[in-house]
Amino acid sequence: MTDRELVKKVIAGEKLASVALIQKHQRLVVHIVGRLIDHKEELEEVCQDIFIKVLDKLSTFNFDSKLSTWIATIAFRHSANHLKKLKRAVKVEDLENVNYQIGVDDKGYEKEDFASFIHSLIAQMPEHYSVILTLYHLDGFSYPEIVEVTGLPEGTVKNYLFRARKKLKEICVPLLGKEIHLD
Amino acid sequence: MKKDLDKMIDKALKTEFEFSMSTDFALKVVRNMETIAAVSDRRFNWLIGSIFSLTFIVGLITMMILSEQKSLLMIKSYLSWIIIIPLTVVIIQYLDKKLVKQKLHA
Repeated sequence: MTDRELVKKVIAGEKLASVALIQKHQRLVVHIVGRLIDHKEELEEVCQDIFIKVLDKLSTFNFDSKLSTWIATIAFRHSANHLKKLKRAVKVEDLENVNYQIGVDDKGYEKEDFASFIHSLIAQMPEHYSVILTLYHLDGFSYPEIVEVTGLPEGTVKNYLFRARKKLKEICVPLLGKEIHLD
Repeated sequence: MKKDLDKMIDKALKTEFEFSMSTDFALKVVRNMETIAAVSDRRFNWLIGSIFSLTFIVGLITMMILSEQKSLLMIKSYLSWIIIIPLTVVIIQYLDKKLVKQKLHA
C-alpha cells in the first residue's frame, strides 16, 4: 500500500490503517527519540505522543515532502520541545569537547560487539550529530530531507556528518586489536 | 586496515541499535487516540449543551421581563414556540450528522 492510500484510509477513520501507519514508521521515530532522550522509560511515552500528534494532524499533510520526512520532523521537534519543557535542552556542545567513555583491554575487538560499541559512542555525541548520523546511515535520509527535519543548513548537515564519522574513526584507530567492554 | 575500519564503521552505522518498545505499541496509540477523541467529543457536547441551555434561560428571562404579566405565566402563550424551536434544532443536528457528516467520512 502506498503512503497516499494509507493516509487516505487513516483520515477516513480506518483503525487498521492507523495501526499500519504507526508500525511502518515506528522504527524511524524511535531512532530520533532514542538519540535525543536518554531516559528509556520516557521513550515509549514520547513516541506515543508523537504518533498521536501525527494522526491528529494527518489531514493537514499535503504530500509536499515524503510522509517519513514529515513524521521525522514532528518527532524531532516534539522531542526537542519535550527536553525544553524538562529544562534539558538539546546538547549543542562541540564534538571535540565530549569526554568519550570507552571500556578497552588488550585482547582484541569482538567483531559482533563492534556495532554496539559504535552506537555507544554515537549516544555520547551531541544530539544533532547523533540524529544526523542515524537519519543518514540507518534511515537512508538524503541531505535535503535531513535539512527539513533538523532545520539546519545543508552545509552544516554535511559538516556534522563528516566530523562525526571522522571522530568515530579517530576513536577506533588506536583501539584496533583491543577488546571493547560495553558497560 | 584503515579501509577495513571504514567498512566496519559503515556496517555498524547501518546496524539497528537496541530499543525496547511494547509489542502492541501501535494498538496502544490508536486506543489512546480514541480515548482522547471521546473525551474531546464529550467536552464539545457539554459546551454546546451549556450554550443552548444558557441561551434558552436568557431568552426566557428576557421574554418574562418584556411580557405584560412579568411572570413565568407568559410561557403559556409561547408554549408552542418553546417546543418547536428546540425540536427543529435537534432534527437539523440529527439530519446533519446522518446525511452530511457520515457521507463526508465515507
